[in-house]
Amino acid sequence: MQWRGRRQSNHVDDQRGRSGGGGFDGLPIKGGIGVVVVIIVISLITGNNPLSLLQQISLDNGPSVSQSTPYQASPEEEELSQFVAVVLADTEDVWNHLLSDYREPTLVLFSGSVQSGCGNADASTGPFYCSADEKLYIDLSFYEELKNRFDAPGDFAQAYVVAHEVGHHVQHLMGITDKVQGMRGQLSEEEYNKLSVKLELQADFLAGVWAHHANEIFSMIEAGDIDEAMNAASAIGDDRLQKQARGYVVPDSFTHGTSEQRKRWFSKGYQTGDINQGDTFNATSL
Amino acid sequence: MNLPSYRFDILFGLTYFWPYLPASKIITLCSGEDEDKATM
Repeated sequence: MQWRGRRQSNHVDDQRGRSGGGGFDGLPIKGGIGVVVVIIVISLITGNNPLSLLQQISLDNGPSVSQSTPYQASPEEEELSQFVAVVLADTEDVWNHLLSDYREPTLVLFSGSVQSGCGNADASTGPFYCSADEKLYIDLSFYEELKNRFDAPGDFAQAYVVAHEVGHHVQHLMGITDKVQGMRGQLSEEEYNKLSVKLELQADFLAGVWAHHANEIFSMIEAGDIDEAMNAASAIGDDRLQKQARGYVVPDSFTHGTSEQRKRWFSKGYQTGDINQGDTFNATSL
Repeated sequence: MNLPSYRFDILFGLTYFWPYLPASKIITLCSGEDEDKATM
């Protein structure tokens, strides 16, 4: 993928080197338990993380002592952070072009662990999206895993990861994510897993739609790039992962789709570039 | 309003451990090892 010298998004929040702990350490809370009670009530009403509100109050009350140490990234990781900022900028250009009321998400780079609006997560969670704060989270060490453990090398495989998470953001803006997550608890685990697969395959499709339009605008796709993305989509299919982990597959437990499905829906998005072709929820077959 | 002291403990505990509660809204790129273990 041709990316050097191109615009980088300014919606990247670099939290590498910061701890994602969830305690009160270093939080000078004034007002006692009454403030905590009020914050909990506000949090229950708004659905926000009370700790985030407490941290905001702490920041408003003046600077607190931070224990974070300067993060020393390798030159390769620095280059990777610039690369994902270019990919994010590409997604902004494409989705602003396709959707009139697109809100640009923030990409959080973290190392080790992170506190998101959806709770704490660590590197083992892998890249993820949180609709509560409209942010995507990536520990760049995942790309090493993608290349070595999942055998999916290449810069466009890396771009696909960002585009997939942005696809979830698009679903959130369209109200699809909330609808699906609202069904949790109303369905059996198996039934909910089926919905989850449809959500994930649609995010793969939207990643393909992004690739289609980004190439139309920037002509940045090089020979082998689409194969890299398809290989990555295939490498993280549920059947492949379960087979590797256990030696057998349990289709009812699939939450993201098979390798073949993930590859096919990405490809469909790339070939058509038409968001109306990606209704996985009403597709006769996935 | 005088709340019994244990309620303070509950409220404090709820706030403190909130970030550690299951993060059901996190949408991952692929199913993880924990997920595999849970469904084995």
